[in-house]
Amino acid sequence: MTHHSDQEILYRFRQPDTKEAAFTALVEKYQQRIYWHARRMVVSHEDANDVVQNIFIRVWNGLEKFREDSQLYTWMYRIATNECLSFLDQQKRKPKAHSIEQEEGLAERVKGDDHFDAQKLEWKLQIAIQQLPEKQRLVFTLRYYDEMPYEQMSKVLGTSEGALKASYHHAAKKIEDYLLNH
Amino acid sequence: MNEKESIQNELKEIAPGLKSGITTPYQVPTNYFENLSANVLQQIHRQSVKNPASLFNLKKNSWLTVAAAASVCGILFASLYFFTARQQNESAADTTKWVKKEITNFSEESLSEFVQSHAPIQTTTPSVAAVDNKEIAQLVKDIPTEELSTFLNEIPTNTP
Repeated sequence: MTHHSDQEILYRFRQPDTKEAAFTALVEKYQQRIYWHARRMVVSHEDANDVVQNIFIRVWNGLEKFREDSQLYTWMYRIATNECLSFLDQQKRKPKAHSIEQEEGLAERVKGDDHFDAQKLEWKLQIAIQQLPEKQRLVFTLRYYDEMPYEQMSKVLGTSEGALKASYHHAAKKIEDYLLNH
Repeated sequence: MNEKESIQNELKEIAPGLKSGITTPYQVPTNYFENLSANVLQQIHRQSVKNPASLFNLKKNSWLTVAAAASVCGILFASLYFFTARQQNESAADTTKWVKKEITNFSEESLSEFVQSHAPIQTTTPSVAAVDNKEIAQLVKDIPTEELSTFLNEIPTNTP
């Protein structure tokens, strides 16, 4: 599948007759990255799907006003991150039976996945990640899986590069400890 | 060194027991990504049918509407007030101007004659004219008749 450049997508989105085609091109270009970013944060596919739909609806509503002083990719990741965090926040406020009370709750969700295999390293890594505090989880997944440079991450999360490095180091150490002991 | 290598080296330094490149184990339903853009567009269309964009959202801008209406009313009333006041001032000024102009047509003698013939009207104060006869009778009942006759003889007789 050939992907259009961001500038081309933006230009076509601003023309009424090519708006939907441009939006389709945008979703197809970024859907995998946005989906996996959300899925690693909220764990279940159903929740990730809801979050992803909301993210792209927000993108549709805001794209016309998008000022090109930041990268489209960075802007979309910022929307995606905010949407994931507000979803998790809403879950915490729900009655106990349906909520994700703490990070252990998300780890339990990982264990509840149909394909879960406690012996496999990738599942152990997921459980370790879900036990991290929210901010460290975000920083770790953006760096480890999305291979995002600190400079870009700083724009997405609105945190200094120094603080992000420290956060990533703490997270990586905790995960290493977990993997060595389980 | 590219970003990938830089991340791998960083990880080796801080957590050598954590390998890089471990994949995410979650599964995604078949054709999920093929249909995602169409599903999102469907949602967008559904929302735009539910909440059609209006030219002027009264509910959203109600405070703005009230403020605008109040301003227009204020401007109208202020304009009306100042216009009326100005007209009254102009009319009073016109009257004074007319009197000043007309008075120059009369000689000084005829004017003093007019003033003298109308003097009693000017000296009679409305408060005196309005005094009730019963009240006067009450006030003078304790005064001896002789004193009253003397007083009446002393005052001029040309008052109405």
